[in-house]
Amino acid sequence: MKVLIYTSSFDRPKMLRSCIQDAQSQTYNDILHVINLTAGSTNQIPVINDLFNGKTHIVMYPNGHSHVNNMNAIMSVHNYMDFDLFVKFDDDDIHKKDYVQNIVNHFEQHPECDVVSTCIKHQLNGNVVLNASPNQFGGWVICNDVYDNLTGNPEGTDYHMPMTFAFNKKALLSIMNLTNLWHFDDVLWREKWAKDGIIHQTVHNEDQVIWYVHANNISMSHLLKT
Amino acid sequence: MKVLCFTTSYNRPKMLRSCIQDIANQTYSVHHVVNVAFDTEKQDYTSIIEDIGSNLTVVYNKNVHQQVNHMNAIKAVNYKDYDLFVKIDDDDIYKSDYVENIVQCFEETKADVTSSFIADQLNGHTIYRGRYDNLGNKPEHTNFHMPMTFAFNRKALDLIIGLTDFYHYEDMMWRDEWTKAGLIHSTALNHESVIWYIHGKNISTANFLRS
Repeated sequence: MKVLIYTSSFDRPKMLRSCIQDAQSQTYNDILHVINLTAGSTNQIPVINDLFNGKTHIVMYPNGHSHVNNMNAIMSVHNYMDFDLFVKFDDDDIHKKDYVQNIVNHFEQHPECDVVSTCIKHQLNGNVVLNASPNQFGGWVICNDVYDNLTGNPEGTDYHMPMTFAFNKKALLSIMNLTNLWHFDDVLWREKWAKDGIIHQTVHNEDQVIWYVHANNISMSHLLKT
Repeated sequence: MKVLCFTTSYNRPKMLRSCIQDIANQTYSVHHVVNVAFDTEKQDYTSIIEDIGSNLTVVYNKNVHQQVNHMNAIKAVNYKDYDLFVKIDDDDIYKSDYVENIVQCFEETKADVTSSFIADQLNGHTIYRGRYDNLGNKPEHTNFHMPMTFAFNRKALDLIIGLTDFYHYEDMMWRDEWTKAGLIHSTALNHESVIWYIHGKNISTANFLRS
């Protein structure tokens, strides 16, 4: 399967460098990583230019809604419809080396599947690693919270953490022309996929991804984000 | 030349991951030893770094003076097997030809110690182009550059490995010892291969702002 990893990045060059390194360290090889450096961010190329190896594709578009930023990344690849899977890499989280391999394995074993996501077992909060254990309901408990999804799921669905979304072409076609951008990208996508009968499954990548909580999170006040 | 890159890291696991990846990506093959320093309770960063790095040794020790932290890293491996010791700070960016440039400098000069000035500073998310040359006064008649770019041979290591009078930052102490002993310093042209990162967890930032 041909995999397109896509990342939208705004003013986090040091984290982006690490994100690119994570993508390049994947054990699965048939990967192109496309990064939309949303303009308005400063010239970040000197921070990452030694990592360009032909499997990393950089584009720059004006910063817009997160859905538009992500679609700009994907659609900037001229042959994006030649790819089988589209894997979201947030620029600030940690993706270990088997992350993509596990996703590919799942899609190969479950041809009926259109979208996968996973719970998260490790949260890096500043400099402290908080590890989770399964609770009686099958979720993961960290500091008395369950890191399973961030905003509730459309009825009858079971999507997990938004930074772990990966999907096929059918799911991409379902969302690529959304224009009513009333919420974050992942919330829009889940609603549309649920409406279109797209099949979601859980991939067991909870040991391959770490949720990084830091001062440049999107939920932080701008006052604190410098 | 056999090269040992050494790093001491304190409360910066995300930056440490990137640092390990920088060294694993070097065009010149090295061994990388990392000393993770902790205060009262050991912070185990295995889950953050277990999948990356090649030729990597990670040890955990109590946080003490930077001099001790660095030497704890070097002493964690059989350091007498190595020709060159390259200081790698956990927060700065080292591009893929960084070590190769240092090896070339040692091969072409009779240097015991090399350092480099820096051309780019990443301050938060903004790049500032300049010439960042050193962080403190230099001993007379010497020309040491930025401390995160120090690299040295065994002779230079022998002079600093047993220091016990911690009167300043480790790099200031090292420069004094090397100058006193008449070691030869050369400039490695690595200014385009290292980026100085300024952020909320710099050592010069107050502790209450660093969490």
